[in-house]
Amino acid sequence: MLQKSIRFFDVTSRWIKFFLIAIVCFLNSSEAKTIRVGANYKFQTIQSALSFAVNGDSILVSKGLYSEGTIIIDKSIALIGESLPVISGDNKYEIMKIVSDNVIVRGFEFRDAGINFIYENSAIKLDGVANCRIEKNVFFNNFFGIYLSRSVSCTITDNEITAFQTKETYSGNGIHLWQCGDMIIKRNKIKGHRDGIYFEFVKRSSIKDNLSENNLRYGLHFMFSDSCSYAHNYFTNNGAGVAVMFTKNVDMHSNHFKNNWGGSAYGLLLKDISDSRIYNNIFSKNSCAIYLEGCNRISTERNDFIENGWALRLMANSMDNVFTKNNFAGNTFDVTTNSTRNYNLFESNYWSEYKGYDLNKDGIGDVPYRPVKLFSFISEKIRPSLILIRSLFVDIINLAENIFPTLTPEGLIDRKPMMKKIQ
Amino acid sequence: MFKNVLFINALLLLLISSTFLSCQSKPEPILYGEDECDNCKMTISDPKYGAELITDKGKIFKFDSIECLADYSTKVESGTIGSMWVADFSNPENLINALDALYLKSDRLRSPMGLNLSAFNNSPELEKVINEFGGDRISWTDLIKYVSEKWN
Repeated sequence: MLQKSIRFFDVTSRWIKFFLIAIVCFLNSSEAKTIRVGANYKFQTIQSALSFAVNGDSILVSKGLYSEGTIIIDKSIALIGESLPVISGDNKYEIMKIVSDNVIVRGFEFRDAGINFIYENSAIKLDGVANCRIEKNVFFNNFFGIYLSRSVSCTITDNEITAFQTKETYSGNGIHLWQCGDMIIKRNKIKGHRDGIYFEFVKRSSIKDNLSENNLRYGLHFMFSDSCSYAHNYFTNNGAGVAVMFTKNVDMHSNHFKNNWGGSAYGLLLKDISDSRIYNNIFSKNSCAIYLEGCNRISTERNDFIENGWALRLMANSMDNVFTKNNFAGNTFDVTTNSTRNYNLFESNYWSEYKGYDLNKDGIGDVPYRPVKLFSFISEKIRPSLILIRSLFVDIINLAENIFPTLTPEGLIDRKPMMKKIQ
Repeated sequence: MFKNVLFINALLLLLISSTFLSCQSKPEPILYGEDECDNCKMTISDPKYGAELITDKGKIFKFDSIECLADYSTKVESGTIGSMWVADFSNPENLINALDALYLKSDRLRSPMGLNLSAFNNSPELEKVINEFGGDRISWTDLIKYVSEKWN
């Protein structure tokens, strides 16, 4: 009887051994395992879990504060936070550096990446990678937020990025891209950085549905980029508005540019831009809605310019731009220029200042409209003369110039001004 | 009466001295985050790369980068430049004369306009930065050539 039971035990223990080995083999051969990190688990730091992980694994991080210097991700893994664990840079370090393709980072709060001017410390830096996803994270008080360099095909979505510096020199950019291609930046909220979103040498990328506000310099800043688009974004209360510079083929549509006030602030600053399209945007309450310098072949169509200081400031070195079907309402100056010639086309816009009539009732004013007033022309050349605005003297010279145009550009004229606001 | 004369004299002296002061060709501190670059229109924000040009009549133009200064200096009429100043990379509050400065072109030190030029007051400082970040020294004349090749 005893013998029998011992033998039985022997057999079962053998079976158990076999099972254990099978399970281990299965785990090793399976493509992805999940590693848990947290105070109650074997791995208590993200870095230790990362060194154990292999390509394809997921790391699940529980709620808590993780402060591990710079975390380097050099494997294709998914790093996922449960109920927003905090990773801190202790105001000293870069928090995370991703150098591998196919990495996902989701659901963390990154805080206090330290200021370092030369290394440009960031909450997350991605360097030379492809197909990474940074989504649903919160960034709080970092020098740079998300920094991508020499990377392609990554998506940055649903992040909330906030910083609190008051001086531009001590502040980095919220989302910074340098030498990248095919990126998607979507549904992020960026506040209080130097530039909300910064693109330098970026190609074929899109920026959509973001909110960029109260940034110290520009809400969005393009430099030397090509074939990018930004649409349905909201840019408000930024230090100097949005700047698009030295760039080709930009699609800018359905954005809001609002409340960018100041001496060198613009709703949209365009410098050396060519072959681009601006449509269905709303520009309201900016010092200057659009400033164009050295811009060629830009079509500006169906935008609303409402209650700006200047709706358009068009510099002499801009050519072959078309402005059509826009609404200009309640701006102090509709158009100013520093040139006496005009190589741009204005047609079929609605101007709230237009005082003409429409006898044949076709909706088009019978008298052409000249959006450049003599006074706006003078104030463009002699800025202090602005003190005379709204004076009787100014009204008189504007009227005289309107009847006998001598100084304002003869060709800058809308021959088909619309009688009603364009819907 | 005497008091009045003294007062007027003092006022005159103040006026004269202030006019003389405004004529000197010393650079003015750049207000980072407020001043706009006179070449590229960008708000100047990185103190390591700021630059200035003062005309022979004392008018001051400010730039966000050495490349903008170099580009601008080729566009103004020759003979109208009084002096040119660049920020010392190692000690950014210090503006140094552009013709005395030593220049570095290093792809790891990214200047605001993408040509990656920085300026140094002396050789040891420059060597220190080259050892850390690499790059090549470049003379002012070559720098001007490099900028106009890149941008035109």
